[in-house]
Amino acid sequence: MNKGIKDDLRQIGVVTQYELYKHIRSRRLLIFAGLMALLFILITVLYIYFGGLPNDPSEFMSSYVAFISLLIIVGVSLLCAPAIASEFEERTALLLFPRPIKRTSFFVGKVLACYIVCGVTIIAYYLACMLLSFIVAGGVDVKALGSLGMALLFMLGAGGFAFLMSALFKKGSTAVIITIAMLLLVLGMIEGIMMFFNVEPLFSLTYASLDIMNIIEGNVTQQMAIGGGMYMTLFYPSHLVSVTIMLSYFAVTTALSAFLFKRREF
Amino acid sequence: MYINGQKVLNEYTFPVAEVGNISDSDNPIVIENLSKTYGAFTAVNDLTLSVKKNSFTGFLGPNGAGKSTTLKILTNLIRASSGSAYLNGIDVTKNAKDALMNVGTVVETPEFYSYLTPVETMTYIGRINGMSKESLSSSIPEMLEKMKMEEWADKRIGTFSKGMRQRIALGQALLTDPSVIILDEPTSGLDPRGMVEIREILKSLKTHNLTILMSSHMLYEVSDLCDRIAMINHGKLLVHDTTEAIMNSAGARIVKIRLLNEPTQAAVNEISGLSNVINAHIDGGSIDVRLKGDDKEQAVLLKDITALGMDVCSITNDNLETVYLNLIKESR
Repeated sequence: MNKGIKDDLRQIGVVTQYELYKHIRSRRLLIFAGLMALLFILITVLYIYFGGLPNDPSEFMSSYVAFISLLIIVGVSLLCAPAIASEFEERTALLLFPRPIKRTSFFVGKVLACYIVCGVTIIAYYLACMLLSFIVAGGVDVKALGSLGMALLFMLGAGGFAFLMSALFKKGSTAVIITIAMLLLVLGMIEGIMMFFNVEPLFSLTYASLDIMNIIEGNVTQQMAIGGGMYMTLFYPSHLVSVTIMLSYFAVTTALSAFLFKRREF
Repeated sequence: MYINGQKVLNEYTFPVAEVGNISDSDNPIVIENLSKTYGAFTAVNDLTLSVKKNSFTGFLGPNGAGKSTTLKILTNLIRASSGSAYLNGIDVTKNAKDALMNVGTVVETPEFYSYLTPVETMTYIGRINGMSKESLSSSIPEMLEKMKMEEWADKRIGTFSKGMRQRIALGQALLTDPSVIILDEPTSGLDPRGMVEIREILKSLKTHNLTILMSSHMLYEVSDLCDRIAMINHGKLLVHDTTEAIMNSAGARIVKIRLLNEPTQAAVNEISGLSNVINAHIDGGSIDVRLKGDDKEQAVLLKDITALGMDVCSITNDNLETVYLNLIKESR
């Protein structure tokens, strides 16, 4: 391997390691993991209170992953959105940018660390759900693994979007708010309007995230009457469409944020 | 410097005949026709400057002169609009990673990751530079001791004062044993004690084989520490020479004398009559004397004034300030 590339990879490893320290010692990861734990406990307690946990492994998993996309949005907003902006806002860039390291290596290390902590938290949530499903429903729906894969892909797409906001805005807090607002409110609103006019929202990352649950439930696109002889279409993305949207978001937003990060001046 | 984790002492060889490289072993920092514009505003204007090997060069200029912009281009924090800036023969505008390999920097007052301790921070910096575990385990305690921070080695930096952070900043700049140090106002914003501490550390660096370029607003600091001075204004170089030559460029030495009592015209007349004194006048609570000669004549002047029965509280050399103000005034 080229000596220069080898050294770049070594430096990416160092940055990733120290970014992981940052996440492990930060409150943000604690909040994200705490919210995941809270969701898990809340669903379990409510099911027990209203008559018991589902016996069917498929139904069991779909209940537990119903809100996972919302939590992933919160997670990437907390962990990825401040990652770039904070280097400039908190002036830590003055310490590391004059070092013999390419900005791209620094960027890749930061991105990897964010995805590792978000990914591990999501996997831990799924593992806890699967374990409970095994104990309560006597088995685990294999489609849960597909759902986990989709959740991780959604994390990549949403994380890329959060990094882009972080590269665009001066303050980490602005990047967090814009990421949450765009992914939780704006995209959802536009999706709703488009479905009302029977247009499939193929541009939307949150539309693609429907497949995280649908991969277990297997719903298909259907029309429903809304009165006055009018119909609206309730779209469900195919697996291919979902994967394509998520990967496109990831590739485009990550490339753009890397470019902006590289060119940003102090 | 470190290559593949191995310490290589002061034997840096310049890369030969590659694009963006020059071979000038006498001048580790070479700035050629460097410009930086922000829209219609020109921060650095066709600046050319070579910093001599093993010199401690003060980089002076008023606010907005282009000092920080130049140093930020040298340290890869901003991009140049045109021109080149070579560090150890490698153009930082083209190949920042290699150019900065043998360079330590303190730009303004950098912030640290508050969740890391000084040891962790230095390990992070050292590992980015390619230092081995063995080198780090010997260099870090040594550096913390030099910076008088050994007691704080394992405390998180988030709780440190500005002075302590600046000492850590200097420590990390020196950790990798660089041959070039770039400092942008290293004492700015520090309290008097912090300034003294940082100055003491900087003074101790003069005994090492280091090439240091330091911007500062404090003329006393520059005349005290630097053996060479480069002055800029409006992004252009005004003068670059030894500190002594610049201080003597006013044609005569300007000495500020503060007496125990209020200065009187009679005292001024008596001083004016002393040997080597060109003229003297009252300036606020002190007497400014234009003197022919150097340190020797200044010592004789002190002796002569004391012989006149005047009680001298202090005698300071004010030349740099005079030269600085004249040059800045002329360049407007």
